[in-house]
Amino acid sequence: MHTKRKLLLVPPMDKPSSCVLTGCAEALEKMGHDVVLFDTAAWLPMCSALQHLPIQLEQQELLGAQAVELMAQAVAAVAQAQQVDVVLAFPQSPLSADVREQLQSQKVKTVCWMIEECSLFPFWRKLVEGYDVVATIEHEPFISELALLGHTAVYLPFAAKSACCTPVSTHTAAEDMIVVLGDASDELANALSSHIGRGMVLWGEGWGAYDQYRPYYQGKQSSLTRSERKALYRDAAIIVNLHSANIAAGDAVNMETFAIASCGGFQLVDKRTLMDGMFSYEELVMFESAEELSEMIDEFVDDRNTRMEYARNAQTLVLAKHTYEQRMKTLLAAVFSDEKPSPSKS
Amino acid sequence: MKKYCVIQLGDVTELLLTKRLMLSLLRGEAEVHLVVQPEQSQVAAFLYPEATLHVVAERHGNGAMVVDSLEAEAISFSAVYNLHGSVKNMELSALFPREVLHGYWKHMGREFCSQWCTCLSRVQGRQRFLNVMDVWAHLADSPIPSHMVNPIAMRKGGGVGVVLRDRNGRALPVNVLAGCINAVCTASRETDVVLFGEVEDEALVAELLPLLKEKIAAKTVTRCFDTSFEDDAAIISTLDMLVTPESDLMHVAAHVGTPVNAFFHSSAWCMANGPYGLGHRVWQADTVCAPCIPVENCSEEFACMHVFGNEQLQRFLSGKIDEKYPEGVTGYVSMLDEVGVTYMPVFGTEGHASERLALRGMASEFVGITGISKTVPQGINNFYAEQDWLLQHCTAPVEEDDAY
Repeated sequence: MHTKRKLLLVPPMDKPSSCVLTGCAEALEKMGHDVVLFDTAAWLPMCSALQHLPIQLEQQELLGAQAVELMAQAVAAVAQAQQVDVVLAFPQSPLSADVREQLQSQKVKTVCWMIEECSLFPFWRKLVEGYDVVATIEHEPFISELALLGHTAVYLPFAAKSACCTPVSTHTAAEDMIVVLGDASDELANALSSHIGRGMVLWGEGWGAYDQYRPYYQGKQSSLTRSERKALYRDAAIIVNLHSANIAAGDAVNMETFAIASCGGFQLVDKRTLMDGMFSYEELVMFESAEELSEMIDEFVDDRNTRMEYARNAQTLVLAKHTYEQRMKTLLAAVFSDEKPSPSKS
Repeated sequence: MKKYCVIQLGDVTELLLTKRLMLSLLRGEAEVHLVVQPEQSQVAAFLYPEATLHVVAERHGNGAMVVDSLEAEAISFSAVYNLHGSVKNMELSALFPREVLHGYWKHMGREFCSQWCTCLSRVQGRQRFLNVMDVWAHLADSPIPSHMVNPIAMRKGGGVGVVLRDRNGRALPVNVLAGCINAVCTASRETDVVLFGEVEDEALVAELLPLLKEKIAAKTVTRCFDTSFEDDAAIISTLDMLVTPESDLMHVAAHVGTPVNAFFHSSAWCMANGPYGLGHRVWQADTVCAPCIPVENCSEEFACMHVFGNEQLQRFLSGKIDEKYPEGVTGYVSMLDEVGVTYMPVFGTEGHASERLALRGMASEFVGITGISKTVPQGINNFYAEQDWLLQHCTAPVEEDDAY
């Protein structure tokens, strides 16, 4: 029996109800912990108002710092009033380094799940200040650097929400739908051109710039709601999950890989170095170039049975090994790794 | 063909310091337009003959800005680099679509600037670690490597040039200046000296000449009259060395590959304003008050200028390397790293070296040159602030909670 903890979850400003946030909250509650949710969304109108003021740069700098400090102090006040053991935050959570240090001095454990890639988020050096534990979706050399800077560093990839799972056999695949999720590049636009008009629809940045794709371009990925995504993942014949327009160059595995798998969808995904050891070629069909992707679409589009087999395998794997419950277990073990085992509070 | 526009409303020094950005944009036969103040148009045409020049002018009546023949093509640029946050710059930015602007712009009464500029604006005074040339160059993606900007400085055989006044019109005390010239000429075994000044510097020159060693004074010529930029540049390109405070001509020397031997005082800070390229030397006043915003009545009695008159320092300048190096001046040589030009302390110590390296590491990460820099310890500076990443998404109405 593990010790019952009380955690304050601080949702990110950019997506206050993101899947990761709800995934963590549901998992922690399921594990028997107390979860307090900070109402980040309630502060967004204030921030939005600040961002629209007709003012000079120096004034923005000052007001911005005051706004962040006010929100961070609000988080600290909730943490104190609710007597939480842990504050779990994300890169975009409204906290400041000063407030994190203040929380540390009050013996509250401060934890950040760094769900951004550090190369795309150079602010990470400021972000990690004052966190006891930094969990990251990337591995080396980031983990070592975090340890060097004095943090407990944990490798914590994204995960699947077990609640999303429905049996693959009940899915009625829309055989004529190929969903592309990701940003455009000339290379991808060329390679995918033979599939235009064959049920391909696209979300992401940059597709609108290509004349031939414009009729099939649906908008930014962020325009998709959670329920739309779930329906797409379940029912599309093929989901092309692109991490980056620069294929086969990155490490971290995105949230969509896990979400598509848990929904029982069939995905073609660009290979990332950290997929090794997490997925095998029995669960995921990975490509390493735009040409290879195009060939794979031809290969799988008319082969429903094989697609369903992959979907089933991937769903089974993520349910067994990559759920938010498992991630939260790993995270809490790291947070309290310096504690001796004690009898349960509950 | 890609079309770019650079708006440089600064002085000659700043025009010279736009070179790395200009050369980067001119790669691949792109069409580059350059907007300058009327008084800089000749120099701009000389420095950047490949660029299409535009000159800003005041419109009579409502006082708004006009730029020759730019309005008509304002929408055709794939990127516009507006390099200052001045009222004029902000006003000009309104000509262009927001999504192509870099540097500074204004929209619906609100000022904006690139994140890079925000971060650098937090680093002031001695913390400044990046040459202005590199500040502007890194507004563009993958600027040309720093070694391709200016030639490696080499002696050309034409003697020593001396610039009498800095950008703010300040000259070293005449005895200090004479001591420095004597010492530098001794070290380089030169007697040919060319003095660069203005017409009103004749009195200064009259005071200076008797203080120079006789054989130097005998061969000293002065250019204290109205000269053209082209002529000055041509002469400087034949010199062995230019002895100078922070000045337009110092950057001209770097531009043509003549070694600079610079004396930095008052507001000059070599990490931010030093000569660009390899082969230059800077003597940086390191008094506690330096660098400053120059005022007429200096409460420190111009300590940062008198410090160059120190006898021990002048022995160093004349090539006599004693064991004990004096305090108050740090001797640097220029060097290049992945971000751009920087300076390595050779004489004296640099108190802020570790902070400078850390900041350069962060800048390198920010522009995407280095993945994770090994030179950055934790929590040492104010380059980033939380609002950089927390508030930027809060510009749109809040989505319903069904958002992904």
